This record gives sequence, structure tokens and C-alpha cells, in this order.
Amino acid sequence: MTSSELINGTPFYLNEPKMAMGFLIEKLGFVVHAHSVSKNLSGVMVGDNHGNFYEIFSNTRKSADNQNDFNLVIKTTDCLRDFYNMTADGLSILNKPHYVPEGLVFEALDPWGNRYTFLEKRDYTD
Amino acid sequence: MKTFKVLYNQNKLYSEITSEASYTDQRNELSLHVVFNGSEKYKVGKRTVVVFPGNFLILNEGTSYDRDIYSNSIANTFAIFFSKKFLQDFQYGFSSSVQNLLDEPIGCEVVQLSTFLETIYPCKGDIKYNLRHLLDHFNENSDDLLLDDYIYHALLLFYCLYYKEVLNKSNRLSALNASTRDELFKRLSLAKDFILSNYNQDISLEDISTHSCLSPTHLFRTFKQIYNCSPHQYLIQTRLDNARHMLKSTDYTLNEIVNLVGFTCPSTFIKLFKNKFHFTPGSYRNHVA
Repeated sequence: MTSSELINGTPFYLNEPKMAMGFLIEKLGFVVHAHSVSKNLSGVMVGDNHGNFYEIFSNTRKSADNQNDFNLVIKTTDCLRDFYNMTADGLSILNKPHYVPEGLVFEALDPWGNRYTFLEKRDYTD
Repeated sequence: MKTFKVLYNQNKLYSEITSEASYTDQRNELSLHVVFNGSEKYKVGKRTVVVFPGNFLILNEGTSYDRDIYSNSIANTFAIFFSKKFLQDFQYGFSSSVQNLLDEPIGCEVVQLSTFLETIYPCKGDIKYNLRHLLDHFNENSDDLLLDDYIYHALLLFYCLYYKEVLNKSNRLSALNASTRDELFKRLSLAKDFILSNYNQDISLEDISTHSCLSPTHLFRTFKQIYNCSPHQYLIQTRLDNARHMLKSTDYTLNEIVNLVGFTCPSTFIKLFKNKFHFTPGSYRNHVA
């Protein structure tokens, strides 16, 4: 994997990034690939086991209820499986899996107020 | 290899990987039958339907059927049998108000179950993804609750598909009264099933018309109203869709595929394939590899 490919990761601005990253690593099998500097912010490049990369930064823009305004879209290959696992792990579910034009999604909230959208992209042209 | 599982709520899953099998006088709950490789032949009453990848068959509770697999390649078949209680609960949940569901939580026991048109349905889009995931989790012996979630979604997606493929399409014959429209739609479904089951054979409009009990002219005119194409165009599309599946998931040579899907001339096949998918068969295979 070249560094230029890694830099193409989706930026994530997380509340409590160290704790939230622990969640991503432990529950979703994310792997830390590199530490990065982008827009004068230091971040961490993590990847999932489907070849998607995400650049994690600390979120400095917090709302009154401590919820993260950013919507963190996590690409998955099996939305219902992830929903089942997240429910079993006690994650707050904001929306159950539902069908959208891109595929199947559900939304969840981690204990630090980060909002995740799990998206299973589907090819409807096939 | 056969795998069978009864879930906690009496829904059942069945998977079989074989090149030869024969079962007679089967009778079950409402069931959905799909094939991921090869093909499976069903005899339901007097008619025979063949399920290929890209389609699935629905059989109502109590329907008696025989099924046979005689395939050159290994066939991978998969079926869901929906328990009566699960179906009643599902239908009750969708047809009742929230207040009613709270006041009468076990009212589902009086729900009259729907019967569906026993025909071949397209296994495309969300239902294809759903059934594929369900089979994978079934093979991995995943938890019943996860399997049940997939079964729930399979049923939900089937209801949506039923609305689109049956209720919506039959309404295109709106000039007719309800019973005539239903009968005509049933016969057109027989025509469609005959094409889907015999797409790799040399079939004519007369063959299709005989099997659907419609005169050739009547068949030609009404088929177009429902499926937006003539029976011949539907046959060509089915051949091309199956050729595309074979290019993607098998090692057959181009000439073998041409023969297997019922074309006689490779150059005609290449031209039609390119017109439909904007790739030649060879470049399509490279593209998806």
C-alpha cells in the first residue's frame, strides 16, 4: 500500500478519538496503518478489512449535547450482520437497517457521541 | 451435501450441493427456492419449471411438487420454509395499527394467510444480496437470531417484489374485469415461466402459446403490455442475462456459453451482448475478473 493511497482515506472527526478508535479496532476489526498530518492536524490512518481507509482526527466542533455533528460513514459488506453485532455489543441504534438508493444502511451512536452510518453499497445495475 | 436447520420459531432453511438428486411429492409451508449454481427442475401439478441462477420460485403452503437436479455442473440450491406463525405475525404487524398491536399482541393467530402466484420471480437487487448473505451465514452456522433477521428481510423484500411483479403488472391489463385480468395474468406468467425454464432450448412462439393456453396473437399482444417486450425479445434478454452470469461465474469458453444459452451463431450473440451491456463478452469477462 503506498502512502498516496492511504492519504485518500475519508476524514473522520471523532469525539474522544483514542477511545473511539479502540471501538473501531476492537469491534469492527480496523487496523492502524499510519500517523498522518493533514491541514495542520495530526491524525491516524486506519483501514477496515475490506480495503477502505479512514483518516481519524480529533473533533473540535462539539454541540451542546456532546454529540458529534459529523456523520461517519462506514462501508460494510454485510449491514445486517453488523447491525446484529452492534446491537449485541450494546451500541445505541439510531435507525434500524433500511433500504436507500445506494443500498442498506443503519445508524448507531458510540458511547462518546460519535454517530456512525453503516452503509452496505449495492450494485443495482447487475 | 445437504444441510437443514429448524430455527427457534420453526422457520426452516435447506441447502443442497449436488449434481444429481430427485425428490417426489414434497409438501411444505410457504417456501422460497433459489439456485446459485446449476439448475433445479420443479414439477408442480402438470407444469414443469426450471429455476436457474437469477431467479427464484415461490410455492404456497400445501402445494405438492417434485424436484430434480440433473446437472453437468454442481448445483447449489437453497430454500426458506416460512412457518405459519411467523407469516401470521409478519402479516399482522404490517396490517394492524400500532394501537391494535398493543391492545391485541397475539391477534395474529386469526390472520388469514395470503397465497401467492406460484411463479418464477427475478432474484435481483436487494433480495439477491439478502439471500446470498443468508446462505453464507447459514453455512457458517450463525446464530438463529441473525438468520431470522435475514428471513424477515427476505419476506419483506418478497412482498415488495410481489407488489411490483404481480399486482402492479397485472394492473396494466386494467381494461378487463378482475377475474379475467387475473386469469390472463396467470397465463402470461405461464408463458414467462416457460421461456425462463427453456431459454436454452430452441423454442418458438407457438410452443410458448401452447404452454400458456393463449393464441399466438393474443399472447404476443398482451405479453408486451405486461413485460414491455415481445416473447421473443424476452427470450433473447434471458439468454443474454444467463450468458452474462456464466461469463462472470464460470470458466466456460465463449463458444460453450453460446451453445449453453441457446444461441446458434457466436457473432449474433456477440453483437446482441454488446448492444445490451455495452461490452463485448470477452471484455466483460476481463472487466469483472
